[in-house]
Amino acid sequence: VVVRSNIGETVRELREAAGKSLKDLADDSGVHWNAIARIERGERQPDYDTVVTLLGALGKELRIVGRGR
Amino acid sequence: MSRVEIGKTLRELREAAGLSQVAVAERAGLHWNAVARIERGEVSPSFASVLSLLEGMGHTFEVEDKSIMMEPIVRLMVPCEDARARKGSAKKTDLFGVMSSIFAPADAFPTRHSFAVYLTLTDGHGRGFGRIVVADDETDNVVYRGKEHPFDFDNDPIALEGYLIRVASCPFPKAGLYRIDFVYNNTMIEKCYVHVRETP
Repeated sequence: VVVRSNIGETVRELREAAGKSLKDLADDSGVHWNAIARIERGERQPDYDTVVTLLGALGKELRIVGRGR
Repeated sequence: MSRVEIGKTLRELREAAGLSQVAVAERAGLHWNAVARIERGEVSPSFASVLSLLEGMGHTFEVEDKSIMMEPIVRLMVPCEDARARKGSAKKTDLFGVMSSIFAPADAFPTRHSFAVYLTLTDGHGRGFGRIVVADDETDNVVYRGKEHPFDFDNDPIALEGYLIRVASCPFPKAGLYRIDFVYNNTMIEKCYVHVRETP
């Protein structure tokens, strides 16, 4: 999955694909469910660290790739 | 990748592209000072800033399954004095002073000896940490515990990679058989032995 600027949408897609509720992801990541909800809706710009934490709780990680592949 | 690691990577990518902090800052719409602090891992940057910097340098992020961590297989473990890649050859490594015994005069104990352990590893996945531990084989008393070294494996299951780990000033309280353990992610995955003997 190539990351678009709306990382929140990516988080939501991955969370739903994993069959997890906001509460589940909050428990797994230690990020408050309300903060996750706002990130997913694009109302809040998450820190890099928060994105790594959320993706990690979903069994994912970020990898740098060249553009235009 | 942690905040510190991404900062370091952003710097490496920028330098590889021959760009200044001012240039990448402009492309990403950031202040150069913010770029400097992100590169040093001093601040927790927004995800959007990191992505803008990457995109400004012709890269982007992909989300992937977390890499599986797996300890490597040790194909060779040799105590020696030194190992050097042969000049002009990508394939050959010269091992110097391969040893099975260390000699010291009877009145020199406890004695200290510096040596190295040459390892060839294969089939590792992801990042792990390895160290050398030396113990008296009879009593299991640990006499030396080396620093942890990071190992980064790309998923290349057939490549053999050579590593030289130095053991500086390892104390041997008495003559005897000592076991050298290669401990990876806190699990001993290979061992070899060295005899410490009194000089006849």
